[in-house]
Amino acid sequence: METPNCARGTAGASDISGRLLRWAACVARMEYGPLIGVKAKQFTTLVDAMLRRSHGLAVVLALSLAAVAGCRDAGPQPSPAGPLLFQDVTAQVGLSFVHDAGQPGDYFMPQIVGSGVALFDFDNDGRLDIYLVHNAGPSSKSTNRLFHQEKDGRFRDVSAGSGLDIAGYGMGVAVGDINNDGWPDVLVTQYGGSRLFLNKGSGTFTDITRSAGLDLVFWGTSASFVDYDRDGWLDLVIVHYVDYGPDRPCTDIGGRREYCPPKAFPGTIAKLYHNLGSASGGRKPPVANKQGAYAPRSPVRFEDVTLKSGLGKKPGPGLGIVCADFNGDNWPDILIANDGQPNYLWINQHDGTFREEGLRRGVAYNAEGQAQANMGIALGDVDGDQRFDLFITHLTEETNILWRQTAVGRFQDRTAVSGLAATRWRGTGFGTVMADFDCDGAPDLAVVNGRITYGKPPESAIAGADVELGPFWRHYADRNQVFLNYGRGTFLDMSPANIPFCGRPGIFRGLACGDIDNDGALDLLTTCVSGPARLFRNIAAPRGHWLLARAIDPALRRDAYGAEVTVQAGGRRFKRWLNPGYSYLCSNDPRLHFGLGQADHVEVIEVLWPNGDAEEFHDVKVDQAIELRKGSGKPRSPNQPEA
Amino acid sequence: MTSAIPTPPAANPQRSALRRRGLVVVLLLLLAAGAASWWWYRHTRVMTPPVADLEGIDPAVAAVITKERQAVLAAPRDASAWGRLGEVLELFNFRKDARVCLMQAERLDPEQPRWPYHQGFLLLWDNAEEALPHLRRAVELEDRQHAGPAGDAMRLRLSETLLTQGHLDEAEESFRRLLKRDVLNPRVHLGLGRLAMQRQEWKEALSHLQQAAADKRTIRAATLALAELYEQRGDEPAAAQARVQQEKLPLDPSWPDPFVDEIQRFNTGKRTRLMQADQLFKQGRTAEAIAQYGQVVKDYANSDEAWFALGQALYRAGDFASAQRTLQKTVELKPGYAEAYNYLGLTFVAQEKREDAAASFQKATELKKDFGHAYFNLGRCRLEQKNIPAALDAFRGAVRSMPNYAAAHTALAELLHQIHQDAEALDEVRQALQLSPEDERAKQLREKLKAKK
Repeated sequence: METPNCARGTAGASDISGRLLRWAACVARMEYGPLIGVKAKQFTTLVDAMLRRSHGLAVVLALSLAAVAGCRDAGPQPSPAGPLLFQDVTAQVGLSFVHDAGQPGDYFMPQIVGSGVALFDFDNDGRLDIYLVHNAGPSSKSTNRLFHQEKDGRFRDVSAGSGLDIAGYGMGVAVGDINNDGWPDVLVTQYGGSRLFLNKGSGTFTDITRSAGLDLVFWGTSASFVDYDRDGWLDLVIVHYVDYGPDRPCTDIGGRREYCPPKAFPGTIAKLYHNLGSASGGRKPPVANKQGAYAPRSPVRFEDVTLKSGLGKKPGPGLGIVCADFNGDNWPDILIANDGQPNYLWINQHDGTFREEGLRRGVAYNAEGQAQANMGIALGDVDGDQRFDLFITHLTEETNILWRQTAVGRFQDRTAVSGLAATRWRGTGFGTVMADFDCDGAPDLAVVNGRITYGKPPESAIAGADVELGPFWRHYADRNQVFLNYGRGTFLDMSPANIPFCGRPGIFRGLACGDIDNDGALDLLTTCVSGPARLFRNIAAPRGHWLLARAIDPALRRDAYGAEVTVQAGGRRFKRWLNPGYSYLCSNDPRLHFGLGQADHVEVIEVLWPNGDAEEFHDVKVDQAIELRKGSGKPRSPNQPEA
Repeated sequence: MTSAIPTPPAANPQRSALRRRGLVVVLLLLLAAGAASWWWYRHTRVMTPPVADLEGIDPAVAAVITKERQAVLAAPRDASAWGRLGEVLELFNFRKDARVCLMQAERLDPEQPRWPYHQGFLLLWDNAEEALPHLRRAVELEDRQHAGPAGDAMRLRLSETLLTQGHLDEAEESFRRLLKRDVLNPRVHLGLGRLAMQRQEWKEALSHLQQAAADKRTIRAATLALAELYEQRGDEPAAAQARVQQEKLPLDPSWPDPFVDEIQRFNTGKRTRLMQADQLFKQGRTAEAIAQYGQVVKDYANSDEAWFALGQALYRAGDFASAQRTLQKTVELKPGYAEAYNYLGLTFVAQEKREDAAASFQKATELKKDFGHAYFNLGRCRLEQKNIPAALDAFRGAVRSMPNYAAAHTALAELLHQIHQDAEALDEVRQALQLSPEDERAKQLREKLKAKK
């Protein structure tokens, strides 16, 4: 990989004039991006011969070129060169969805918060389907869309009659099987009341919000299903944003109408709902009907345990969520990203209550002790130490933060040393995923951006893309970013080389990740305020070996949310954590993806199940999708939880 | 007979080389002249100042921007005029246009440090790494010319940016230069402490952070960093103590930066003036604040925002009749203003006009279905009117909209107890005590309910 360093000159330059010329060419290439970069490189080669004849000429040429390139303003930058990771296949797969954010210029705050997406297999046919959310209000004709992936990889709109074709100020989606019938159910968060839908197993869903005892009046954003009490039934945690009043006018400092900042309103509490399971109290498995669909023995019921659990004690402008075991005690905890306020890390006390320990564990503030505009969350082990790290997106004027887990349950802001502070460009980050795009064994990063305040739109690297949003929304557009982890948690900005994913300005919000075409490489799906959803197929080459694992508890007939899976291959250990609720307003592929690099065989797979049981699986080949079924592995003693 | 074919004269290798050299010299001279012309053109050409998009802008702000732009047009080679326009545009968030002006100011006056400094400051919003060359240049110029306290502010910003961007060695050197001039500077100690933490040099970090924590200007930030330091060192009791301490501390005051502060002289417009009035009110200068709000209302007679701000201030100052009139004007201008209806209700309550108050609160809840405070106020109104069913509905609405508001749970519990629905009352009082364990009213009610049970 070519990585010129303009400050030092390209290796091999033996004299001052040569260095000057190469430096100037390098600056010119950086200034004008990858396209001119090729020309500048050729130019550098061509003039090499000239250099031998006249050093003076080289000096003058170098200075002139540098002046043209505006080198006075160019600091040292990473190379724009790098592999192309994604290809936009939206049209190719027939995914046609343009987000409706309502009337432009309303300055109705939910518009700018955007809407998310779910990647899930609603009909259990082994292929990921897509559920996309609109945001134009309950009286709008724009209803949320459900797309079914056909055998040929194309998507068919099956919204009509699905029950999910609802209109509202839609925000996020969470997916989980709440009644353990084997069919994934759906929660849609909204401004003005979220809604819960039960998958009937026939491609249709029923709204059970009221009957399930959910009283959802707040402005819901991200949400996640988590079995916090380890009773086998997925509970629900919904993050809420602010107590917004649309009547309050907000302006920027110049007096121009603008979307309100979160600080204009009080934050609200996240709500935790305990799944009561079978109302009859038993945990008997549900029975299948004639079509093979499982019907619960009794209606699904949730109890609001927000206050009892402690979550009600701390309101905040919540946007992002991740549920995982943060302190190594084998009980799931809850991290909530707050916009402009310290993050909350609710540590499970094993008795139905939680204690907020964000500050204690180092994730409340950044290294400067500042609470930033925390939005989307990605989770993964960037440095291969078997402990997950966190990446949280922020505003342009802030920095997206990488918190490394330096010891079990202890996090430190290591953004600068990871190469993530000095990026080619910045944006206001929302959705983010940590996933191994090139299957080299080190999780990479993708971030989608979009402004929240009016500004000059960035130039588009794709012809015509900048006018796609229209005259109002284009002023809120930003470009996405992608970073490759080249081992031990150090990242290189690959955004300029990835024009399909990063070159198109948009007001991006949701970013979902999953292996849509089941080829062992993780694909990306983005949502955009008032713009089209886009599907990006992973075309990274070369890629390493891989494994796609689904961890299932057969007794519960569902994915084992909360399971921790470690693959040992080629002498390295790769660890993943199962919960599809991460990024921003999104639900992702519940399968765990492992990039294995050069390792061509798996030595062992260890699974720590949510209830604390541990098993290991042997004789697994690489480059395949597998199912890890609880009870079918060899039991092993789990790691001792933290004292 | 042989005929001699004339042969061309043999090339003189010396002459040829001489000609080539001459050509190279001429080419060189031409290129040098071209480069010099280009340099001259770039540095002295007269530019037209950018035209900021003023659509929707406050007229007062637009006037300031236009005035400074006119000044540039009148004196296009005046660095100060360009700089002032850049500063005004910077203040009102026209950052890209501001940068253009500041770059031109720097071209015209390359020795003035404030122009690269402002460019760097602007770039901090978009890309801190790109800001660094500008900040370095500003610091260098300032050091060369003045080396005074203003330069320290510049160097401090440079040092902190270097630290954030991970240039630890350069950041350390920069911080240490500041320390040489002001050995007690708490902000420098805070920076050095954080830097040492990044390097996991705990002893060094502790020393600096303790010094920073001893100064009221940096006590909160330093205490927070100390909590993390103790955590990293495994000293949980000290970390817990530091966390408790920092939660009780007010925010550290913002650090003065004369170059940034001075651009505030251009600040104007409705929003700024309302904020200034808010500040006066917070400082207890009520009469001055109300006068300022009044002036804004006069200048922006159709601004519901300004009328509402004045109404709120009058209510808080105890002038309920004036507040009522002002808030009525607000809802006249903006009939859907739920918050204004809530405040209007409060002015009626203060004047003991219960029926009007209830109507206002009711309207607020109709406009905003999850308006917890309006439900709560409505409940209290209905209770005083002895309308128990309506009060019960309102308090239930308050609890539903504000489940973390202990007073709403207590009020609902009391009412439920009054109508002998003790089981539900006990549930509500328990929730109130979960949120506010020391609430005396709730505690008494719980005891009463338990005894009855």
